[in-house]
Amino acid sequence: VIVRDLDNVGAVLDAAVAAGADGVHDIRFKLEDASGARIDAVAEAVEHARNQADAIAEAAGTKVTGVLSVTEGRSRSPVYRTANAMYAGLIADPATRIVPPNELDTSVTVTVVWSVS
Amino acid sequence: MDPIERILAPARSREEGAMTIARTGGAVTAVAVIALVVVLTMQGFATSQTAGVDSAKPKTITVTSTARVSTSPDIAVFKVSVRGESADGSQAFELVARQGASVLRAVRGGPRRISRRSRSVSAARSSIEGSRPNTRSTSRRIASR
Repeated sequence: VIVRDLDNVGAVLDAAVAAGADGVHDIRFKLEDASGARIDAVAEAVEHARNQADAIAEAAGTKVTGVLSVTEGRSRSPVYRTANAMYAGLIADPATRIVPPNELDTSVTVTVVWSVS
Repeated sequence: MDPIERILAPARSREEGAMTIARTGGAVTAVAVIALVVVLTMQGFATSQTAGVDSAKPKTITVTSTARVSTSPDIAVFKVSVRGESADGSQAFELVARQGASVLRAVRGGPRRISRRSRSVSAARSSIEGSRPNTRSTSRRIASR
């Protein structure tokens, strides 16, 4: 089941359990389309790499003239999983509620080879 | 212009350090560059200046950088299971299907913006032969809209 209104996740889970669901499993919060965040992270990583390359080149008395290669390394997609508990078991304790995380992190590592003059 | 192409364009002054961006109305709330490894491989750089050799080899700087983008989640996904027991397999399937339909009705009848991607029905059948229980489990997946 996919819920797009995150304010109502708890209500949906309650409705499922009240209607006879034996359990609710694998509750995850994520981005429906994570590609935008990933592209932003790649852009930031490359920009930072360029800044560093410029600083190094300047210190070495030369200039960055272009890019020879860009390699994307580790990439982590943002998914937040709740404790792998049966939600039906949590019903007994009203204090235990499923709370969406405020933020999810997408991280990207790039390796850029710059040519210098 | 593509963001990466824009970044790769040479001769632009840039700020150092961690960066933060805010996109109004968008999901991106913060960006931080969290790690950086710089590998300087200016092959032949020193030698070409002192001895003028190895000029065919390109001079390069290799930089490894990691960036992290923080975004707010926009969907929640979970799985629901129902259970039905009967001495008859087909009755058990029927019970599970009925119970599942009831749960899905309740879920869809609640808040809007809920979709059902798929549902699966599984059934376990147990029988006792002599003194040794024999348990088999079957499952089938039902594609749905």
